Amino acid sequence: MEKMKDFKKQFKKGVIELAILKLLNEKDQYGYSIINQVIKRSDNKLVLKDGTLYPILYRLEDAKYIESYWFTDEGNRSKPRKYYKITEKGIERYTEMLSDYLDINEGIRKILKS
Amino acid sequence: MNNWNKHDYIKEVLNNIGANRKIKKRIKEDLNSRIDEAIDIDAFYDIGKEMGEPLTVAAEFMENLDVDSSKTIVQVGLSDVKYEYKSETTVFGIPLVHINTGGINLNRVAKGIIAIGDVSYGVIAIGGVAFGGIAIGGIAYGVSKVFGGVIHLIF
Repeated sequence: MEKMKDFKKQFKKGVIELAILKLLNEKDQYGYSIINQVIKRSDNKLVLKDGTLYPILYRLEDAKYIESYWFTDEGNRSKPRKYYKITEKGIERYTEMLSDYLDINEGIRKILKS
Repeated sequence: MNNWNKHDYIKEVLNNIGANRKIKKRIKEDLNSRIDEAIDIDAFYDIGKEMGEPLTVAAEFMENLDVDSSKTIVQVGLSDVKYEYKSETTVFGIPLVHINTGGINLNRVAKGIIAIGDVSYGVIAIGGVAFGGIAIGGIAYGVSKVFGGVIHLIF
């Protein structure tokens, strides 16, 4: 059972980065909203925790695929939020990752169906 | 399960993450913002229950961060057993007794009249690194008496 959980964990790590770039490609988001979006849009199949999300965001930011900024929505709350946005380099990265993922997914699907 | 306040929760998470100051600063900013957001939506948001206990969250960060926590250059802490006690009795606002050990890099700090910790500051200080009137430690800096592996007596 433990080895099965390990497989899911490792597999998830690889695709979470793709999911995050997808969300940021749609619009700028803050941490809590990314977590909620991943859970909701995956129909609870992917549960993203803070200790997984933020290290991924830091790696993406260090690689200049995304950047962060603080924004205060003065209409709704007084405290600033830390938003993340995708960069041009990040969009290229997302496009590459998506293509790779679809290729691999198609290949695996064919094997599993054969 | 503790009813954590934001400040103590984040502090406890960071105390259990073996990473440099830059990374910890980023984590602190993000956790602050994240918890504020959750509390804005639900004023009774139970941080520990919803996000997990600090040790669990710290372990998750450590698993996913690109840091090698085995590369600790120096460890001079007192004990790897995690324990903290702070007396209610204080003297000029300083705890009479503060014991604080077991940091991830053996770096928990105790400050008190009697201080016992990985790093300790006190009138009587005992620790891996101890600063005090009477200091006992692996590295000890004392004013009147010192006992330690590396000692430095002031006066």
